[in-house]
Amino acid sequence: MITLGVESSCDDTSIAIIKDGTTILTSMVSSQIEIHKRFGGVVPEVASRKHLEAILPLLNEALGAAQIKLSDIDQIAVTSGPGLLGPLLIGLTTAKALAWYLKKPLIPVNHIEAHLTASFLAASKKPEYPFIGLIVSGGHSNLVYATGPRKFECLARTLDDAPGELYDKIARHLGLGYPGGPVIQKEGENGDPHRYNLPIPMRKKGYVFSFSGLKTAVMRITQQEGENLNRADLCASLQYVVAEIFAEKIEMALKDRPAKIIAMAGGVAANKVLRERIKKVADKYKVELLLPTIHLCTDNAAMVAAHGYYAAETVSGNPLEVNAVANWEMGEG
Amino acid sequence: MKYLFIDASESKMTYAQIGDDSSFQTRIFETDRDFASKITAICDEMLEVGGFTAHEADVFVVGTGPGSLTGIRVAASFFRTLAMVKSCELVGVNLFVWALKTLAQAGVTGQIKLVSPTLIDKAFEVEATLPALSFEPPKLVERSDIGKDGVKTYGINFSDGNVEKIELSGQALHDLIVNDKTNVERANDMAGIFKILPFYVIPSQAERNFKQNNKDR
Amino acid sequence: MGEKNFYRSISPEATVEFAKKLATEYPKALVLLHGTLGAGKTLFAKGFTCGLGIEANVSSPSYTLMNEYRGNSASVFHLDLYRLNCFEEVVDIGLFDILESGQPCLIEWAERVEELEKLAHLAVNISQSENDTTEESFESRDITWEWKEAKK
Repeated sequence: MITLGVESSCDDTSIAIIKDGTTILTSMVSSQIEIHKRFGGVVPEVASRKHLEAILPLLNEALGAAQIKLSDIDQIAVTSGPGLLGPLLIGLTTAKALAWYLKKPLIPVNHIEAHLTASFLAASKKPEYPFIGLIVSGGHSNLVYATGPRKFECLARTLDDAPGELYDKIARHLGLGYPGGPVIQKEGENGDPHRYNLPIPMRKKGYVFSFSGLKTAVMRITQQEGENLNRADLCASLQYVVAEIFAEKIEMALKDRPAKIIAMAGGVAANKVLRERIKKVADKYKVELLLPTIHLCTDNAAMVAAHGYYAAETVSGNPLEVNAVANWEMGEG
Repeated sequence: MKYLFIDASESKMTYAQIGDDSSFQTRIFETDRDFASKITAICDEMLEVGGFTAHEADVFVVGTGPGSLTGIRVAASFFRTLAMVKSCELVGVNLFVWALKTLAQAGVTGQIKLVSPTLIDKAFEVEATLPALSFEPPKLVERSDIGKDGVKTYGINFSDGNVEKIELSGQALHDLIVNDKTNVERANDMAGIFKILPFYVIPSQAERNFKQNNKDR
Repeated sequence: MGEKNFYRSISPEATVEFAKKLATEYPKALVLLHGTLGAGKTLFAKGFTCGLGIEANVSSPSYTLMNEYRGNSASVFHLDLYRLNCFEEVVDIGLFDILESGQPCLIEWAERVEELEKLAHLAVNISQSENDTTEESFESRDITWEWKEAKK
């Protein structure tokens, strides 16, 4: 079964073609291809304009790369949320046009759910239930217990910011650049994670995350230290505390909910400190930790196609009537 | 030539028209932030009215604005994809040319201005000399300055004091689609389809910078 | 109207409750939320949305730019302009269409788009309380609000 995946929830447009649930025939992202000849290589700055210009050439390239004709496609999976409304609409309407014209099923996919499937896809596995899922990204910080392709019990979410947003804002505050995660990781590589005493928010307060307080704590430290601020140590301390928060909550979940797998996903899952810390938790409880590859950590259509493949049977109503939803929650209708 | 046209530049409604060489029908649909949900149903209904299927259509025509970018981009996405999949002609019609054709068919001649509201207190203004349908790139003006210089000014989705609102005519649109070779955008191959885009009256920064850097080329 | 009002919130919960009550006085407003990182703008939005009778998971629109929380008859729009790259993006996400529709709209980091100041709006400012040095009162916030008429 050939599934076409379409993803346009944020910065990049992506198209993928997969066979069954695990074989990626092609997965392409718009930043890879030379399509903006009109601008001499400079892309439109506005996200939705970028997506509109990129999506059809990208589709064309993907079909060529996978050596697939449109008539070979059996179903179309598309991200319809969460994300940026304008970009989402481009991918969604393009996919709808294909599904409507080719008379093939359309599967609306939740981007965050797809991120979890990416962890399985990276290991060329089918999702195995139940599993504990941790999604850490710019906009999300969710700890879930997954019992089916669209069945998620949300164990913990953030009261305020997500770690990716925290890293972006702090990196900006420290003048380190964007996106924050990678630059903070680099800066903190040889830093002392215990030099600055940052509070571990919501420690021992149950299933809840909060990162906003860390913003204020970091700002307070930069104010107090002034010239004496050691950026490497601050970045190391920050990553250490963030990893500890997640480790604590995952341990809570492993004690409460039986699971043999932890799947970590989202842009911040690429963070080395976090990966190593969670690996320690997994080893302690003798469970498997699934981490996506860097390509699959970031937004891509392969995970959307795969997730659509597994979630196809759960689609209800008329998917051609689906609208893009910027704040679509995991597991919701 | 069997065609299907959709324009979603007004936020609270969608205008659809279906026709062939000799006749056409129009329908107005109420849509409010849910055009993306209704687009396939709108197409289904129009094709039913027109008496042919999407596979039998010869041309897909999309309204490129200006106006509500949300609606325009959904329509553009949908129709660009259809044209690519079907390898058929795609036509883009902007509101200015549609308005000019409407006025020309109503017998209006000479120098006129068209305005289309944007942002909170501004509008895009276009000057034209009818019956020619051409116009220079629009200028951004203050709404309070409109209609004060003696040139007859018409409003697209807009009326105010001495600015008369135009009722865009289905006949004018039909004639543009079926007969006009120069004032609408026509694409007959993939490269051409890729170039039919919403009428972005505020060009993107990158486009401005590129034009700036390549002025002498 | 036109005077600055003041409220000291001693906790995140208090900020939410306060915003909930304020919403009943300004049910259709455009609200421009000002405050530094971590001040509590999103918390305020949470309370305000609840006060308008809409049950929704109010979350930071930092990455979505715009969230829509749907109620039975109306929606609340919640925007965060912090990550805007350029002015066109504001036009493209349909902000001006929403403003013309008159639906309640909460905007964080509205400073990014100067035009917004010209509209009639409720200006809310959340800042950390001064003179507080202890850990507990670190949560304390000073909230001021003022209705501003449209400017020509």
